[in-house]
Amino acid sequence: MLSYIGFRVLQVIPLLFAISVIVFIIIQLPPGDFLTSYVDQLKLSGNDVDESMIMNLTSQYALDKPLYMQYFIWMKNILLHADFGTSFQYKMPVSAVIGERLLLTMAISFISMVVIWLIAIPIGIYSSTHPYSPMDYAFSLIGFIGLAIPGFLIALILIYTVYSQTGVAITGLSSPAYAEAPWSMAKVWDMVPRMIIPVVIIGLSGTAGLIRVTRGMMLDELSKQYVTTARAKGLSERKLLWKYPVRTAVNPLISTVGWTLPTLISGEAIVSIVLNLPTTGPILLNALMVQDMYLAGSFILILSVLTVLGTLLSDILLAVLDPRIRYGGASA
Amino acid sequence: MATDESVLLEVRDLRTYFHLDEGIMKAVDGVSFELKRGRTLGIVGESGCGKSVTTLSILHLLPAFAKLEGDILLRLNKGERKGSVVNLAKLNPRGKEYQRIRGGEIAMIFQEPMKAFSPVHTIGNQITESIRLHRTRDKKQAREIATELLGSVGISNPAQRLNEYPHQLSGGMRQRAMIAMAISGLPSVLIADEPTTALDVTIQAQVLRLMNDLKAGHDMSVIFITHDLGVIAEMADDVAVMYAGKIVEYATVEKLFQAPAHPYTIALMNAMPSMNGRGERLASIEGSVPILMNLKPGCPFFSRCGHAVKGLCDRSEVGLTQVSPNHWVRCALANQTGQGAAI
Amino acid sequence: MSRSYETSSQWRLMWRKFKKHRLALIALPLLLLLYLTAVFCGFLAPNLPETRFVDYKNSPPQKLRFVDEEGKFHLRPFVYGYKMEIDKESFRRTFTADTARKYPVHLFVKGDSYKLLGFIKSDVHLFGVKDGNPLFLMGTDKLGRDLFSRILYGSRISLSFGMAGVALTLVFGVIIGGISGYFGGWVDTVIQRLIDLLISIPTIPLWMALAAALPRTWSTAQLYLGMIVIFSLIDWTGLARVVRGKLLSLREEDFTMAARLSGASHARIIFRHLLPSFYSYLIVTTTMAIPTTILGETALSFLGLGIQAPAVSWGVLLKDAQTLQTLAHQPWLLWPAAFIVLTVLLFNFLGDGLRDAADPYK
Repeated sequence: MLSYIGFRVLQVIPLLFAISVIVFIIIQLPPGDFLTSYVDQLKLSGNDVDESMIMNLTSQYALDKPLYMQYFIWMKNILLHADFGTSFQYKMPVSAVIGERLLLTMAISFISMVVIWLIAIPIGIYSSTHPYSPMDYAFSLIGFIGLAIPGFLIALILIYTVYSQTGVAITGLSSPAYAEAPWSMAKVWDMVPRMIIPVVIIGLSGTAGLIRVTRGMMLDELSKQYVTTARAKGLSERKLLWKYPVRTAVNPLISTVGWTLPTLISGEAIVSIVLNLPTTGPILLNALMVQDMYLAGSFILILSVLTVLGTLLSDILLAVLDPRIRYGGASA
Repeated sequence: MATDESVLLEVRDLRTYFHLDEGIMKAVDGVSFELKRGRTLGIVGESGCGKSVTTLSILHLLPAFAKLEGDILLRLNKGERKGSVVNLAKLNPRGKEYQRIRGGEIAMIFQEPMKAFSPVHTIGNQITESIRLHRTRDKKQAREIATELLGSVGISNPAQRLNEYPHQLSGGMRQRAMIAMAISGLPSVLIADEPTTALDVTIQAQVLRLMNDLKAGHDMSVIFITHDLGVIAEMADDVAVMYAGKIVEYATVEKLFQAPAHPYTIALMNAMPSMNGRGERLASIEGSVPILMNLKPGCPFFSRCGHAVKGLCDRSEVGLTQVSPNHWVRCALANQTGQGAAI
Repeated sequence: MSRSYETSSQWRLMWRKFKKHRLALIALPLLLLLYLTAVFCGFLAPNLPETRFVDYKNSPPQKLRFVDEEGKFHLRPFVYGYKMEIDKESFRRTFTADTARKYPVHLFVKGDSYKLLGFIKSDVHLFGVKDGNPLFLMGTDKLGRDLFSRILYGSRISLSFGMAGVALTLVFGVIIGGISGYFGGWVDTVIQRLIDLLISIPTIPLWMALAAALPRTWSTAQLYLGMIVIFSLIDWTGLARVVRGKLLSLREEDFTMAARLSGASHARIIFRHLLPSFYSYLIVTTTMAIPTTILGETALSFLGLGIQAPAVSWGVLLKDAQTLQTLAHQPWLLWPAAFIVLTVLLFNFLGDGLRDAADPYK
């Protein structure tokens, strides 16, 4: 078991390295380095450009050194000092800009994931035990629409429908009274109902996908010999369902975390722009628009790393739950 | 049956039809047999002849699109109504009473033990489950019984094996564990559906011997399904030969081997490797079992039968005829002569 | 040889199965219709996409009517003109139907000239109203441009993008997956790790970052090509995995061995022998990938990162509908969303039907 975990963790390290290289390339993609655009920006807005500050930044990011050195220094700053660079747009360290928003993105993605599981798995089980029933067809249809229509379109349509019917604007995460307020229990409490809409929208396609997967997997399991064995033992249908096929189907379902999580984070990025949420999406878009590349790159880096860690966790969880992987050791 | 106390299970005119998109498939079409206390009934036939569906029908372990007709009479062997007869075909397949019978009165062993065990639960978990359903609610006691059972089917280190998963056992061990699980509910009828087909030949013999020992030791009657007449000779007291959803010959094992009467039975026997006939080429049966849907009238073996008579065998349904005491045959030619048709 | 006979009967079998899927059977002609609309948009649209009707900014859709205000039925449909009012407090202009002015809709009306298929000059439109009067079936935008015409023109980029993007993805996926599955060994390992890497970066942020890096000075055509490359660079992984998996199982089969023994080259074996054995699978995967690609383009253009105005695509059009204010006052700006949803659903139905057809055992 431990060796399996160790093996998986080791596998992740080169992956993380490769991600960091890709993100570094993204940061370098726009023409000119960020300092040039920074200086241009300052000049455009009519500000004086402080020569010493330029010198400072040049040496801090080794902009006068070759690219691989720049990468090395960038990585060193991140790993040793948790310094992701400076956002010239906000004129402060990237980590300060990111922190709170990242937390909210993670919270929304995570809650969506939980909600997806809570909704999709019972429905998937129901559909598989009542295949081709009217309810099964109804769920399939909803699932179809959920899979086909992306979150941001649903968000747009929902904003319009809710506003035209009730006059309530469902954008943002806080009511006006709390928008600028510091964090408090009251502010969190105020957020909860407003989180429902993004959670539902972001979760919709995931729910549809997971219903489909659960249904298919359960139908597969239900037709297996061991279910008949259990039935032949005299187990009641209900107990049988939960102990055997559901339990067996849970394993592959857990491995779906690997693809649900990036999809959720991905979907959140764009839905949050439409819904104007104080999460990573709008600020990432803005950063990309004005080529505030350290900020944008850091978002992508952190989101990717979190995805990798999430997948790693789900793999380990899977190993805990599935004896075949656990005893298969690292080779499995 | 109500009078003959020695009959444990009687199946009368069982019809299991699968209602599919393509039409109605008559998987089992009018099967009748009885199982007496302490005896083994062998059901033999090629794959697709309906022998598995027959036994699955007894426990009603059928998919939703299967419709079942006929009577399945079981003499209860335990509980308050011990000795009385219930008709399983009339019971609610999802009801409590049926659940008590499955595993408690009639238990089943399946062909592939790897598939028949859940891969994510330990052997112990799956065996004690059955014990707790039919014998004791107490967890610890159930575990003790399970340990003892595993030992009795010849598994070494039973206490340790209980904590292992199916994939950690060898094929033979798994089948022994499967047998232990089946008898753990103390059933009076054990149905074994090709229990040795997936095993090595040497292990096959061990498992067969084990089953015979257990049958004697636990006072069980056995229904043994196989496509292998050699196994039948070794295990069965009575034999039903099935073809295309029907029993085509029904006799005691001695009569069947001495005087097989149905051309299909004879063909099966010719296809069997014999001990003394060295160097002979094995005969095989031309063609295959017809798809049990929209069958033509007449004998379903007609197209493959070497003795078929046009205008007689392909005309109308052939009934079961008694050719001698304890020996029935479904063959139009046997009907005519009153004797074994094909010699 | 018997091979050609077998393939033809396999196609026939698939078609028979496909016909059973009602939704797919409906989706196929509707999609063809949509694509034809895109091809002949100049003829079908009553107006040009860039023509500004300055008097009719933000005007709501006109209803196509057959019955007038007196309850009289007209065989020829007509629209009412607009009556403009200015709200005294908000200074917002609102339009209502002016029942005093009726404009009958004619077929084959002469209007602004356009180039059909890019080279046939014409000024005949399928339908329209005469004398330059307004016909805005889906309203106008803030510059007074006809949304219906813009949607028709926008379908050119949106619909073709799906096809082109998937075509390039297919090339990447089949080549890389083919190499991975056919050669195996370390080549396979490297490619598999690369796929792991691409999958673990959230797609939309990555798209956004790459799209944002496209130079602002690029022309529409350059942006279009650049976006296609970005999509295929990220999207090929799924297809490559499928191709690899199939190849891994196929390369052990007899006919591959036979081909190799007879001295066929690697490329020949892959393209002549291995690929044809799962054409049907590729067709299904490709069909399912088209709507995803269309949505990707829409999403990025919607965010202002992809194709830029003055080019029109459905995403660019939807960009106007981003804020709550515009949605509240000009909800008709959501019309492009209806076309996107329709297209995506139709493709999904089609893909579903094809999947049933390609998999006769399910």
